[in-house]
Amino acid sequence: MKKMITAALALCFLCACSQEPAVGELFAMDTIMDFSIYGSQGEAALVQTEELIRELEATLSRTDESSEISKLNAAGSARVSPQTAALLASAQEYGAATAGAFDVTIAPVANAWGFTGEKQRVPGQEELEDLLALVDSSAITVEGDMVTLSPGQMVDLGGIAKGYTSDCVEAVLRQMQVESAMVVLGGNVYAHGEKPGNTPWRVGVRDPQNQEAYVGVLELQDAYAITSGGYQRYFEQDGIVYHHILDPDTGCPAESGLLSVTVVAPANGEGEQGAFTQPGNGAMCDAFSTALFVMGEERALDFWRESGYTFDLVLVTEDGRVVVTEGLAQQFSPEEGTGYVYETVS
Amino acid sequence: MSTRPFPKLRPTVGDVLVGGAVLLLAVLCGLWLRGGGEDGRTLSAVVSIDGAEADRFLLVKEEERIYKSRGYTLHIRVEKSGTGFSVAVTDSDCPGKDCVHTGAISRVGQSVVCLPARLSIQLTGTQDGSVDAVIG
Repeated sequence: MKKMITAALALCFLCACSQEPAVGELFAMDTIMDFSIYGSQGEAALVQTEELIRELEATLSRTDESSEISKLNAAGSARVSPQTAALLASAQEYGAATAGAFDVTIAPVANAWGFTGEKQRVPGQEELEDLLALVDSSAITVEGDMVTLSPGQMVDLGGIAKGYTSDCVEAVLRQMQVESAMVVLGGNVYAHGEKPGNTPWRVGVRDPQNQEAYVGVLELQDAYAITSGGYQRYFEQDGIVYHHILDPDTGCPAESGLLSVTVVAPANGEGEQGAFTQPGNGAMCDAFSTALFVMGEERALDFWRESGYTFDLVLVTEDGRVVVTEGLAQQFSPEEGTGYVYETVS
Repeated sequence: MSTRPFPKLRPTVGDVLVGGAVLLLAVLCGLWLRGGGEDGRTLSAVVSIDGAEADRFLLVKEEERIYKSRGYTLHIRVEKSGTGFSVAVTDSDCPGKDCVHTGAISRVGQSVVCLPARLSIQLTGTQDGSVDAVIG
């Protein structure tokens, strides 16, 4: 009898060790999202996460006519939820911090290029100059739940909404006491806790010049990592490649000497639970990955050193270097044989 | 005062058999987990449409496959790549063709996504230095 009990206990132990995650995949916010959530709350957290994302999409989408953002764009002013107001205020903050390199009022210019639709084109210089006059997120007024745009302005939260969504997912996972999960929202990763087995999550940073390869691997635990790169979405016309990250100064695809920017920041952690999740480091990483791509290596590193925000970077440059800021030196492993020169900066 | 003698602590044949059975189960479980029930050294491609698994195949030979979703047709090719195989969407009638631009994938955790068709191809299995997710 004792032997049977011993065997049963051993099997229970083995089963506990081999717990499989609840996995889910969904298409939302113009991207694909993958979830692996471990623990007894996995399935429930998956359901709650999907509901949350559908709600956020219905609120923040620019293509859904019934969303708060669509109504704001159509009318020029609108009452919005506290959540949307907070996100717009954060977008303004990051716009000011990056001297306009991140700007959610780029929407009319993005429309002209067709990056949000099915048909892409190269707009004329005169058309771009007219539209650039509308690009200035500091002109948005957010007073309580009332938001007002300047005449002709439109906002597109595509550069920050997925990051904010990962902030909200983190809040759900913490609320449900999930200890281990990997959340991938398109090019955005949120590594929740450690992997089962108490090791960090391994996240490959794609090589912009060889989609089959990585420039290196990040080891993450309770952290956000978000990448922006011109190779992710582009079209060709007359032999010229036009990518989707637009410089708010020129209205054209940014030519900053960078191929990709990865921003890494710690998770938000346990905070006060209010009526909604405030934009946190997920939103910040999303906004900064776009802004720093536009700014280029030198300005991006100056910003990293001086801005006062807590984050680290992996920059892949057009001249064949991978620049890693010192906070990631122990967490980033270069891939062998990539041909890149690796530098750590402080 | 009388004391009871300690029981014999030498393992019996039964103990050895139970221990062996547990060890064997542990090894089998480990192999099953590593390979997802398949050959752990071989990559599998998992094709999902609208978040639901639509197809799964081992990357063991060169071949072409065609998938249709939401009115779009995607041509997928499996090719030899170094010592293994890679998968790529070689042609698609979707707008933007981001799935074609992604190129070939050959490592665990990598994926090709076609947003208009709501189709994804993800590589699973085990490889040296495999990752849990890919960004970029």
